[in-house]
Amino acid sequence: MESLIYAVLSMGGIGLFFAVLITLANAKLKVEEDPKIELVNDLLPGANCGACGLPGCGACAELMVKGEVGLSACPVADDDSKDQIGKLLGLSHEAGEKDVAVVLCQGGLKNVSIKADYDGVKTCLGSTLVSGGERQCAYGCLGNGDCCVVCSFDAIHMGEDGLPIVDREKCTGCGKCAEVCPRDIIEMHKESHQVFVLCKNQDKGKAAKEACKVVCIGCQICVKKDESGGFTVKNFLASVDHSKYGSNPELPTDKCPTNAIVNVVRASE
Amino acid sequence: MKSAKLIIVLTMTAIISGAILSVLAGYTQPIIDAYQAEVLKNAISDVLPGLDTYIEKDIEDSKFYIGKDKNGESINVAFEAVGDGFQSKLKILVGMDLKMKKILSIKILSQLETPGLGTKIEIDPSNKQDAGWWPKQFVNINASSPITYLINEKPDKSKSQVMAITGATISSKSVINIINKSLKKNRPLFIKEVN
Amino acid sequence: MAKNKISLSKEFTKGLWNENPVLVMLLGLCPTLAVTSSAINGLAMGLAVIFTITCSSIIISSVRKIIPKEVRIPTFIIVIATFVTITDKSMAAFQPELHKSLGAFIPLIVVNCVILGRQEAFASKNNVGRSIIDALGMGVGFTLTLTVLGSIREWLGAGTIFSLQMMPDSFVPWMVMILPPGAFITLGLMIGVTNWINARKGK
Repeated sequence: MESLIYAVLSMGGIGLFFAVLITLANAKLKVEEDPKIELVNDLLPGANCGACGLPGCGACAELMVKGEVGLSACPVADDDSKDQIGKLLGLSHEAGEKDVAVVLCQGGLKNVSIKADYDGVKTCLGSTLVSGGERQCAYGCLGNGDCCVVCSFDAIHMGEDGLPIVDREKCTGCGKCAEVCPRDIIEMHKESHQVFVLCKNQDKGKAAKEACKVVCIGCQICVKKDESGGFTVKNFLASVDHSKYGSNPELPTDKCPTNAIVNVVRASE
Repeated sequence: MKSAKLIIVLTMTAIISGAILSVLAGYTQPIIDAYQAEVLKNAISDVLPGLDTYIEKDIEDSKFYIGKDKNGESINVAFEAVGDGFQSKLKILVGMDLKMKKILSIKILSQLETPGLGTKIEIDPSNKQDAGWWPKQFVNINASSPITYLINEKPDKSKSQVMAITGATISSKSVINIINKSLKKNRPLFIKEVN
Repeated sequence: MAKNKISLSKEFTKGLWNENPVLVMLLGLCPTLAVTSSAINGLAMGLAVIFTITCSSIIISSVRKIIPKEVRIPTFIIVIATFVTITDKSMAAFQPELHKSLGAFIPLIVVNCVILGRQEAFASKNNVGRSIIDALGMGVGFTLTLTVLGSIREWLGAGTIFSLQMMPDSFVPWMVMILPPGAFITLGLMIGVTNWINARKGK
């Protein structure tokens, strides 16, 4: 009985002592934080994707409240939440169109020639260092899916034929996949832009055809057929200038002899 | 209000923990003590041959166990020697004659030395005939002068020599040093008391 | 909460492989390396951890709503320390031989980060049932790993497993396996094998 009292008193005493200490420390050392930071943080997507270039949403919220970065710092948040943050902080926000990632390559396993068997680290960065990976095309997709790993929004997946497929609904336009791709075949474009040359190959026609079935050979047909002047060919590779071509989904898509020009929205349907 | 809750929760947790543990200790401590007393008793009868009963005697801060024969005559004495081994505390029970000039036997009560090397001071499984050969070296060894150890030579008990264990010289040396040290301290205490 | 979508059986098995506390999360390495010089020591340590982690999880998940977040860590530590002391005392009273060989390491379970980690990461956020399953999974994963590690070291270092002769008489035990370097080498190889299997599965 006596030892019980000693145990209870000593343990209780220690507990009490430290509880008081923690309470005091809590009161004395409390960090004063602008309550707005918490509110802004709640409105941000909370994916900590890093598209703003800061360590996470919390850091971005802090700088937004301090006024060091604008609402546009977060490319991911939708217009609705940007409006609310804007109201909270007294900033105005122009509703803009979101960007969507586009994979500018069709060199899936069906189309591209295979030159080797790669058995190293299963990342694009790894395979590109080993003689440029398994696939013949030195410009196209490597197929190891670094872009799928880096996506915080579950919006890009590796398709069956070894090409990443973007979910245009889920994509928030953060640009992480474009950043990580060692071949730079992923680009960010406005959602309304639909027609693209899905190829980056700059080889001459014959060499390019050997690498991949669906390749731009620089034949100039698109330049001739499109009257808006939106298509140009440089280094045996065509590209679209959407400011001239606009959102017109029609025209040279079906004229391209190698089917390298595609309407990405229609193709996915 | 919030800080009051904070203090109450932490203090109550501590109090409940203290209460549970003290009840538990009240229940288990006698069992643990009984077991340890049993271990000690067995050890004492191991190191003191021919004893019938023993009595405990405290002289200054040392504890002695004096062995008695059937007629109640003191025949021999044991004491605990404690010290640092290679990596753990060693507790050794040393049984001696009444003049404290000869070690009758020793027993390692606790040790946590390197398994397979230092543990040979207690049990050596690699010696299939006699796993306890090392502590047996101390049986009936002359202890009038400090015990010394030899490496790879045949020791002579009358010259207070034992053989060190290959690969565990430090553990062997520690046991010898601990025995020598406590013998030096305990011998005058005991002799003075008995006479 | 998204976590609640995980089925209960998965909650249990994640501790065995995918989130194995030792081989994947590398938590609680002090007891892992120190006590596994034999299979029985690894098993006993594991059982002690299962008991402690399960009881702590039950208590902490059931009172999680009344613990202020400022004192949650001291509270967790008191709860864990209480159960560790219960284990220590009970083992000393009823399994004295085992206690003698594990004695120095039982009190160290208090600071085994597997246990505090599960309280902080799981029990303080989930209900009692789910916390028990999680604790059991983690505890069993820990125990299995320690037993395997202990068996390998005992087998190569002493020629026995659970004190049963497993090697021919002519076998010369590899002393290093019983010593601390053997623990590091074996654990390193086990982690390597785990990663290798996972990499093969991923392919």
